[in-house]
Amino acid sequence: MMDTSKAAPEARRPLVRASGVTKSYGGVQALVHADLELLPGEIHALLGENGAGKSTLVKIVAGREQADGGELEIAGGHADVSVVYQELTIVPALSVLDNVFLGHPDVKQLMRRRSLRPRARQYLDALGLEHVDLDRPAGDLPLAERQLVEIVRATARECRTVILDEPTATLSDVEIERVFAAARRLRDNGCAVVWISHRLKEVFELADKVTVMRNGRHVSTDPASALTTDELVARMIGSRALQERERVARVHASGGGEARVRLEQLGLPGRFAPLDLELRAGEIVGITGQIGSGADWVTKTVAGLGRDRTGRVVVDGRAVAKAGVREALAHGISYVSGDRAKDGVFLDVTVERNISSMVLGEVAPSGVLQRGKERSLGERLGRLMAIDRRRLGSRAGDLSGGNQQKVSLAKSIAPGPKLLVLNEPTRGVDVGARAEIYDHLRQLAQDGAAVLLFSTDLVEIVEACDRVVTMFRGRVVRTAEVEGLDEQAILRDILHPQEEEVAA
Amino acid sequence: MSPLQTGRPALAEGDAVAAADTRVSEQQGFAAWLRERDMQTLAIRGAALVILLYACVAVDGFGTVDNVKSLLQSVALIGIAAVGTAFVTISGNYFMLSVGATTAVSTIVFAKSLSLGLPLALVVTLGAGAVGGLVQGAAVGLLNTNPIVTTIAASSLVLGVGQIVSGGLTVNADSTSADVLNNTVFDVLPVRVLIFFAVALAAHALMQKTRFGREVRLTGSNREAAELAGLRVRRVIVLAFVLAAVAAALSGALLAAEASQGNLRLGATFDFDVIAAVLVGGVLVTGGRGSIIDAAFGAVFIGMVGNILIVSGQPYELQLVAKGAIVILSIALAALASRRRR
Amino acid sequence: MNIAKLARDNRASLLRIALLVALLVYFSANRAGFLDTGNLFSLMQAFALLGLVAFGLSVTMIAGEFDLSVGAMVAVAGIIAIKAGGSGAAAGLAVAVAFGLGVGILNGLLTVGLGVSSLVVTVGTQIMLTGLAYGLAGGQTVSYDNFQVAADVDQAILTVFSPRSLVAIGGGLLVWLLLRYTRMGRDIVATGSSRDAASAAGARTKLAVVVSFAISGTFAALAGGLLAFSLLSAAPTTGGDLLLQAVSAAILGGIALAGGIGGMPGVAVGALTLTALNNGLSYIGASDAAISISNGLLLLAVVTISAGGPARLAELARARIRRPATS
Repeated sequence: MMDTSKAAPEARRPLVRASGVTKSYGGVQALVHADLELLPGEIHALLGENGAGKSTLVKIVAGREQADGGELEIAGGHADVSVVYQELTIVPALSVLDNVFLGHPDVKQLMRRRSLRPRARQYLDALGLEHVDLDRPAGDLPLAERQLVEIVRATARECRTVILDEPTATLSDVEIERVFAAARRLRDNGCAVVWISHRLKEVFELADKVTVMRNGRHVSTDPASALTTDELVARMIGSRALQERERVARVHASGGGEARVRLEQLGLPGRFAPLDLELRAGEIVGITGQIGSGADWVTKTVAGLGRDRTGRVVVDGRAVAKAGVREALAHGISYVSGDRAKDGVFLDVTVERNISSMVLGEVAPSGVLQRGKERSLGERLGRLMAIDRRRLGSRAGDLSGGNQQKVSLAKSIAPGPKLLVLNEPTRGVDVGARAEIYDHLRQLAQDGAAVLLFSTDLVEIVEACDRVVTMFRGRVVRTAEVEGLDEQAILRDILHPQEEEVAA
Repeated sequence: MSPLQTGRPALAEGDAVAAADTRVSEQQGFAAWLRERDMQTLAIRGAALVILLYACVAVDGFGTVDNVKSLLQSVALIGIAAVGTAFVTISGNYFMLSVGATTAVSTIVFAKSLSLGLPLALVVTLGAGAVGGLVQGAAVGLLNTNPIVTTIAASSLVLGVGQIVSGGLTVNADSTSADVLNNTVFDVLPVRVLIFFAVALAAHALMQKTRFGREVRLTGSNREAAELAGLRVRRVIVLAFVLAAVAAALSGALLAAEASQGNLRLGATFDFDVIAAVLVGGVLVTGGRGSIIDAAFGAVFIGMVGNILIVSGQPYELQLVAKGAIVILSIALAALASRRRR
Repeated sequence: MNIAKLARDNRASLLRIALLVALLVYFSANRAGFLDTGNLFSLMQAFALLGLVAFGLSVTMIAGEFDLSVGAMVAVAGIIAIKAGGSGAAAGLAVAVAFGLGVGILNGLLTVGLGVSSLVVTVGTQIMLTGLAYGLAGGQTVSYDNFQVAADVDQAILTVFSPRSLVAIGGGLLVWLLLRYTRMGRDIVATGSSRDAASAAGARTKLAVVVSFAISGTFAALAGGLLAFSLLSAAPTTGGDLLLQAVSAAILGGIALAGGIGGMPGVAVGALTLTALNNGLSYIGASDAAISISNGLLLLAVVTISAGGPARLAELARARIRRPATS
């Protein structure tokens, strides 16, 4: 247990001091000028949109990545920093006890579990997990409890700096309270707690200080009490920058054409509650929500994933009989995956062959591939998506992220879909390619298709979409037209505490 | 409204826009071409050439017409089976460990059915092989069982069935009807080798030029992406196994014709040779890469190495050790090459 | 202790034991003498080989890998043991075991060092080991002259056991202790369960893989050497079906192919079940072919069930029924 000195804050030495930190991956600059100062005995919120650089900064402080430039001082070294990442690192086959002490320096070659048990019990109980059996495989626990065990693991390390990245994403209110209590306890014991979250309500409730980052830069650090929600939001997206920024998507549709696709009481148990939505030709609809909102599963379910769905998807009057990607494709629903490396693009295959992969029936009408057709398809779609002709024969994995995404899009557009569904359409894509992609989506819509996309990038939602559907914890909060609306208002709506009151 | 039919005006001049996009990773020119060729296949072909030249010059008895004929004969059988197995490997399912068993049992089936005449005997043998492949393909493709363990199990099953069919005895083949398979065309090219070439070319065409072949490759490259793209993944996997089994059965028939008998002990190390041929040829075990010709070439290479060892008087046992070492070396090469690519 | 809950939690283990018992009952009912001490001794002798190899293989499976070379290792180790046993069986055995350890480490290093699937690496080693076996043996069976050694290695202890079977049991016990009570054991399980998570959380995943292959190689070599001394001969063709039986024993014993799941007690039951099955079948006069087929079918069944086969079959059937036309 740390002994807090009761001296004035200025006299306390910082546990972590980062200034001017830079980091780039390949050609992309993730951190341009990052500053962060963590004092003992504080809860320090770190805010910023996706791509602001928070995760990169965290990895550098934790020692998982090396900074390219700038200064970094950590009082106890990297070993004194523990992180709970967004992606769970619970090992399902190991017991809860073993998971808590995984990577703990106190664990010797011979596991003396007997001495570790009471400590684990103590930590678990402090987070309200009295009912959890230490010897159960962690994989048996529900997701929320696994998240809590991860937090327990971090506290068990007894580091002076604890970083929590979206720790409450999957938790219910009761559990959130427990995590708050744990964070406060850590703070009172003299630790520095970094709290990364999109939920401004939590930030105001919990944090002592707030640091905002934007585009890889440090924007501001202030005591939480000195800020209002509007100011925070403005700093996160750069209010002046928005007006000055060249509008990427130049056209917005209003009203749209006929309703091509209807979602009738479509639901996925455990992910999102039944909802109704109409998708019209010529219109781009965006769905957004934080982790745990179920928004990403709406798009996946429409695309045919999500096997135990309830309700119906109706395309041009015909209901899609059962779940399954091939079923959806047969009805004209084409899906662009959110993770192109995992299942969106065939990295080892040429661009041309990627593009033709979803229309092999047309490119090989009697079973034999017709190279001429494949080539012309590749060229036509390549031109559409502004992919250099010379790249058609290149291996897709050799292209930049933006170009890979364009290939992924071209591939899914090839079948001439009635509805194009996309998850995170410009994740990891630079600004220039983004603009192109939005243009292509707009063109597709104007040609008569309906477009549905999921994104956690609020700017993207505002710029590319005609209508926005926000979701929170599995339910639709509101559906609004983007055109003519004050962007600040929409964003405040999505981030503001009131949103959570509405759903409650 | 498929882009194939409508003529849509281009949004922007593709070349102009993309030319401005200069990413370090998108090099042009010779360096890129070189990188795209599989380092491993290049190395193998280079090494093969070197070894070939060396052997012609330095090893007595290697460069004769008779030896080349004999080399090609032994390569043919392995080559046919390797070409079939390559479909399984390219589809991302590692290899078929039941190849040896299938070939061995096929010798029995062929020998026994020769009384029906050559064409029918071939149909029966290949058909039996297809059934075995179907079962394995169904397990792996439809029920998602582990391909390695499934084919290990199938190997035992097939051998057991073979033991029952043969009654544990050697089955003598009615040699006259199968003789045509042992002939030589124009006194230079053995029929067997001709069949090998034909099969390899046909399989290559199937893989490169048909929808099925493309789906095999895409499935092996990334199964999840293939499913998301609506490809007929399950069908493709089942067919890949059927093809591999049929090829193995064909090898068995040819083997039986050569030995004039069906015998379960024929081709004891066949499995190894086939797997070695596929791996060494450059068909990557991760799937999606490599071609049928690669597997055929691998068979030739492995056969050549073995032949050189025999002709230069080395004991038979050394062959296996050498083959194993070559397999490991080529795996290492492939791994390092793909590491460089990332 | 709630009996019902205990039963539910350990349902799989109970089923396993029930299967074993059922087999024993069936065979002893079919032919008298199956459960005689003489036959039980034979059973344990077979277990001495299969069990030890299965224990080793299981460790690699728990780590999320697979050692295809165990069968070949048994063969070549036997030959090495006999050939190096000139100055005493113990020396020969030691050399064989050292060889197994070395090859195992090599397998592990190649797997983690190259970042390649262990399937491919061990196929290569399997080929090399088989070649080595043929080479060392000169293509024939090698024999060992010292009859006393065979008697020693096979002497009856407590009626049904022998030094060989005790070694196998000891091996299983050691691995069990390793997995349960040491940090390395925990790292092995973690690596197999979720390699990325384990690595991110600080487990030594690469070392764990190497250790698991070292164990597999050592156990296979030990089993091969002891077998050779028991039979007083070794041939390159030994251990043909061993790989298949070891995998069957492992999966039957609850080891998941995906990794991270399963333990030695289960594997022991699995190995016993398999030896009982094969011993019983030949006891009632089944042919080699029948035994081959039943082994193959058993593995297919076991692998299908553990891959969730029945559920998928049901799902496929339901899909067909709802939509008779194929897409």
